[in-house]
Amino acid sequence: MSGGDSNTDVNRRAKAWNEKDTTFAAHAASRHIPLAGTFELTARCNLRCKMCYVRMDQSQFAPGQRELTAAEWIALGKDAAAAGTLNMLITGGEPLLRPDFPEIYTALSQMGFIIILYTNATLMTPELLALFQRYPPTMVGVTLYGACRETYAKICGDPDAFDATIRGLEMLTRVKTTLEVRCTFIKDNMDELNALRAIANRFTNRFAVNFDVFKAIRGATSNVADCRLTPAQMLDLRQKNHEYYDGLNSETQAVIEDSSPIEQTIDTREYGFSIEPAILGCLAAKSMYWITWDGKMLACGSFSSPYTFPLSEGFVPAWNRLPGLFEGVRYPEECYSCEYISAGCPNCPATVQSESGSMDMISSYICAIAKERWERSKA
Amino acid sequence: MKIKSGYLKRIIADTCVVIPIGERVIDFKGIITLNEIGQFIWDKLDEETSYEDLLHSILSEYDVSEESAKPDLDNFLEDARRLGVLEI
Repeated sequence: MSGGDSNTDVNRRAKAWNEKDTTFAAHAASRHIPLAGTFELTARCNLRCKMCYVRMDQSQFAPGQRELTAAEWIALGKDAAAAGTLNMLITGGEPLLRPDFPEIYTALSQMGFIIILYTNATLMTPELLALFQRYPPTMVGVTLYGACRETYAKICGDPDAFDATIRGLEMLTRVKTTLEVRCTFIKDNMDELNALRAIANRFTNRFAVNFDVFKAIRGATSNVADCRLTPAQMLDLRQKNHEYYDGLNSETQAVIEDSSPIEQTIDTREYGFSIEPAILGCLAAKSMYWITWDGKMLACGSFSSPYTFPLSEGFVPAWNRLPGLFEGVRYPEECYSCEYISAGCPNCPATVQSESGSMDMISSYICAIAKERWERSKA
Repeated sequence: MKIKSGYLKRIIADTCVVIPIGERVIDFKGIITLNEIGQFIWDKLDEETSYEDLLHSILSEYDVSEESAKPDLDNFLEDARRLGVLEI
């Protein structure tokens, strides 16, 4: 059957995606299509995690600053779908805290997105369970902060939140979705790696760990520096988690979100890194974007700036303007001649900006991680 | 036969993809990529139609012989049945 060149092109692309030669994301990036978006519905949260990079109370909002309304999120969803967004992450703060969450979620679930929801699960109710049973997200990522009430008290300021999380997880196992338990490690829960994994595995074999904790941004005020792991602790714990999975002679799925070393030499074939803004070594601003709770479009959620305004300037103009805002951005000068880079350094313009306040200003914490990695690679 | 409700056809990055929405996410995880003719057949299957009508539509729309069209149509329908997207 002859369908012309377009058939051949699509068949070739689909074959390549199936065979993992390239990805739909890379294909989208090469056309500057906003394939993957995040809607950060709120910065508010019922928990007060001491390491949170984004949490704010309403009283901390700047004058004139406000959360987008449900109608605005739904309008942005329609614009995003029209512009080509396929993967949609709904997150916060705690998105279930919004009374209008069901309205926003129901609308987004009809727009043709592959939806991932991040939540702490403590606010799950029978009504929300019914909503997710009716319109299941493709995946739900539940953050688990501690293996007992005491750790929740220390990290989140509320021991009852541990029980509420377990209740929420139990409810979510009744949803036809892929459930993932996500843990961020700081000093208060670093001894609970195995216990947290054991809890997670009661509900799912998807256990995602994060050891890299960067400073609070965009007006959030957590004192991250006091509670996060030292570079040595971070790498020890990561190693311990790897060893656990290495020791398993099974098909248990290890989902390890451990910000793998960012290579300074980049693979153009796989992800289209030569696409502007080339300074970003990932798909941010190429096929990925993040819309903050107050309506700013960022390249990724770890940035404070630069940003555009998809509601006032239009979604597509805002998306198209984003890459140009990185023109002239450079890493800190020291990074270009740093020997530690070869062993992997977690620097990127976003993490550097979080830590030092500026994309071109070096951060002693990031340097310390790079140095620790370098020394271990030599050993 | 026809396509079940709850599938949304979208053009993303010059590519036609089909995505389950709402309750359909329970039955179908992932996306389907359609080429031009796949898209043509999918659209025809939006309403109740027979195998003969589908074949006739393809032969009317494209410059192609029945011998060439039939195996491709059969493959499409087989894939669609396997994926569970067809209401029969």
